[in-house]
Amino acid sequence: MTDPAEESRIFEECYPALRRFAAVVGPIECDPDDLLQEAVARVLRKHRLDELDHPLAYLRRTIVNLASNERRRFAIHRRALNRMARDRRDQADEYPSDLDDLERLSAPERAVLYLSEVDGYRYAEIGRMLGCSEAAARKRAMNGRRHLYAALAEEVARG
Amino acid sequence: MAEELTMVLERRAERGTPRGAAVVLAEARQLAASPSQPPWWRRGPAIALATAAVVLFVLGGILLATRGATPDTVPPATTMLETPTVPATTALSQIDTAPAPGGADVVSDLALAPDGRLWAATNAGVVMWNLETGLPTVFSEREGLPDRYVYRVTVATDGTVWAAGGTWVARLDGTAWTDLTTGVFTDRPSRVGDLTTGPDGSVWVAAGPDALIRIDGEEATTHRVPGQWSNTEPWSFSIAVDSDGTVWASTMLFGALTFNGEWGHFDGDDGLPSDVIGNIAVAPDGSVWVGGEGVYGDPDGDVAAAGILRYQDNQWTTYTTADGLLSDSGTVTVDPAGGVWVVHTAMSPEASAAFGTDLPDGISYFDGTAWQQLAPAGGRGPGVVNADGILWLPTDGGIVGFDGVETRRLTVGGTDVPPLPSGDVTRLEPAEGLDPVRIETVIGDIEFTTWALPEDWEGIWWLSETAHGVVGARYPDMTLVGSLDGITWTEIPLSGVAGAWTAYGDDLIVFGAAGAARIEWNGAEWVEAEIFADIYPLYAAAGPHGIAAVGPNASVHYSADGTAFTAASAPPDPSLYPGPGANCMAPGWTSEGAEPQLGPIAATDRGFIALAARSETDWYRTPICEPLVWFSADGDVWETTSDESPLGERAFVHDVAAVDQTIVVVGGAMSPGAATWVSADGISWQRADSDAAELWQVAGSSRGWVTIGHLRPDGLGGEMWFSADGLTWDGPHERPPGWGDRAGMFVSVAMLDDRIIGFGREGDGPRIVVGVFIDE
Repeated sequence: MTDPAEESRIFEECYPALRRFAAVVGPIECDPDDLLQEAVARVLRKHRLDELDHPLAYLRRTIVNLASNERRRFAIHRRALNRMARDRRDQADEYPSDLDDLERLSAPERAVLYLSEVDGYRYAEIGRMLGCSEAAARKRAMNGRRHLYAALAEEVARG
Repeated sequence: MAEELTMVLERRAERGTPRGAAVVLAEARQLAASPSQPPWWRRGPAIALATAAVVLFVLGGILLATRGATPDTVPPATTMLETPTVPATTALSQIDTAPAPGGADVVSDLALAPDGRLWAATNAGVVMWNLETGLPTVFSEREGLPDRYVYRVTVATDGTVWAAGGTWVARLDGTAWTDLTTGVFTDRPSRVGDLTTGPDGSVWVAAGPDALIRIDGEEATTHRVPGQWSNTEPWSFSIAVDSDGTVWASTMLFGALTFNGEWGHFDGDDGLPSDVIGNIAVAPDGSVWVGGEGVYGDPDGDVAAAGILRYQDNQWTTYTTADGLLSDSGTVTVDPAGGVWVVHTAMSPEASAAFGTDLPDGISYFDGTAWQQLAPAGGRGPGVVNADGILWLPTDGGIVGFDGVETRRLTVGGTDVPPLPSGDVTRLEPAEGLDPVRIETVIGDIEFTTWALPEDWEGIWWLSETAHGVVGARYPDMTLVGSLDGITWTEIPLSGVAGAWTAYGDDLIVFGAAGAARIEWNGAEWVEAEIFADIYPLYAAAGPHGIAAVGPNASVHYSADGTAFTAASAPPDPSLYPGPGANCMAPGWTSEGAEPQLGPIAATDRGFIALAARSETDWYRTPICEPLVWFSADGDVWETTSDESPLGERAFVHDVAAVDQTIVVVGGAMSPGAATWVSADGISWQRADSDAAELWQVAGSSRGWVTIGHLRPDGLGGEMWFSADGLTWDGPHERPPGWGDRAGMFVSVAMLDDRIIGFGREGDGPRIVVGVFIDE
């Protein structure tokens, strides 16, 4: 039997972490709650949250999968918006540039970086969370750092 | 720098204003309760673009709300953003899925089987189309599909059918699906990108995040895509295998990959005009073709499609509009005859405005030397080309077939029946315990499917052949209904209740409460044209010599041309079919009060025959006991063909049918049992005894004859027999489910050139059985 109260309790517990995770992993244009909500909906179509062994990990993985799609989609829209807004110089400052720099990374890269740099997980743990090997998680983190450091260095150089 | 990275990530994690767990969970529950959708990338560029346009509205709404933009600062192209059509808090899936979730006519992918059948991946499972008959067969979760939303389908060289959904791959084993992602695969794919077969019968799966899986028998081997090329999820949406067994894959960002034990890579350095490419296909000559993808295929949104590519003899060739292509963007479909079809899909006006470019709708065809521009087919690529050279394309409204000039459409909801009938149309629905369209029974070259009638229909009686399908009387309201295929039925509006009817050329002549009416076929349905005679017969038949109609009180009328009826000048003598008696009577039955009856009647190339009980009739109209056979060349003058019943002593008749010169009668005798009789002239008859206890119905067409009855004396069970000549019968064959499991009086049958349509009413309820002849 579904226990809505238990499901709500589990989600309440997971929500802060998941929302932060979605905010990092999802495209900048995508509302983190929208992404999280979609991930939860996808899971609820097949499972109850209270029947998952590790709902937090499961939902994280779903968020990464969805974010990978959203990234491609929103990249297109962002470009289109930029085209339409070429004459609007303030358009480029819509988001802080350092946050926008994160867009250079793939969703899995952002996920790995966030989980390692912010939440402090080890790569083996991240690999289990995201369904990849420890080596793959480490590699994604390295790629992400390389891309991001390059961008940050450019900004530092520009002053 | 590391600290700065953490800080950036932290700030990013805190962006936006949380809506709160309760709100998010509540909306997620609502979303979960609504039907899921295939991902946008399975729904074609048009939908992707439509999605882009909608999200653009939303995004614009968010931006403007955030920035407090004023109208005079908004460029013309964005003025529409002031009134976003979707709330900014709407979940992505709601924005992403403009059309309502479809069923078996929302098609994502197609595959051709070696036997010529067309397989479709749809939103309601896998649909198998028999292109000869136009009949679909739907496979769904009921047959073991892990999910109804199927995005990819392929058929191996041995005819095995494979399908894939979002995260699963399944194989059709006989009539049931086996989910290979549980048991055979080591890991469930995070996303299946594509599914294809190799020349050796192996099956290859491109699966996220970085897997290329080879399935051989019951074993699956996973090859990992090198990390630098697997940075998309999944890493490929299109794979193909060439004759050497090399797997070719198009990626979204990194050009083309190959795998033959080792990974290979082609990008701009190797002659590709862009690293963003479309679908990939292998032609019969071994060349590899790659679709042109751009604008909406490019994650950055600014790479225009660079043309259609061909790889042959270690060299890439790019075809563009300069070579005659309609557009540089399109999907490729290779033709088994060597041609290449490129399907170009137009952008919506909104997307065109947003992206600052335009793409035409149409098809380019390459015959090996030059490109030819063709009209749009109405579908999206890639598709398949069958042996007849028809390009079949998936759409959200079925499958379209395009031969270069004309299109046809296959839809589960009705196949090629233009224009739509104006009357009440009923497509038969699934019945509990029976799949509505699954092949239930195969007998020889006939495939039978079983359909359930609506709850308020108790049956369709007295099925009769016409030039446009069959007609019958819907019970209990006795409305006349017609059907081209036995599955979709249309009411035939009449001025009065129909009592008898017969096909006359292209028309239908109906005798009802209002008299005799001519019903004409308008291309989609039957329409009452005129009431032209004041007669009320019980039986009628039409043939090359006109129409003959026999009614109560020995009345007989005829019409030479279907415009007026005349009373027969020399009808059968009523004194020769006097009335009640007991000779053919079954124990316990009484014929008290029954009137003498003439009929049934049949038309042949030579004229008409009518049967009438010579001496005794039992209960009302059937069986016709010891009938005399009356013959008329024109319906006006009738004479009996013999003094005694040519069918023999104590013979009785349940049904009669005629095709061309052949008349077939089924029934039996009080002893030894059931029998059939065949005659070419109504005078001399050949009798064939049957194993059946009783035979109740017979129908014929150019394909032969079918009779239905039962073997058991108690009337239980239900069998059918087939015959090429009406004399030698193949059977008994158990009737398909639902076609009457007891007492053949609850059965009716008609036979068209390509199919048998039967009504049965027993067991689970009233059913229609459709048997289609399959020509090999």
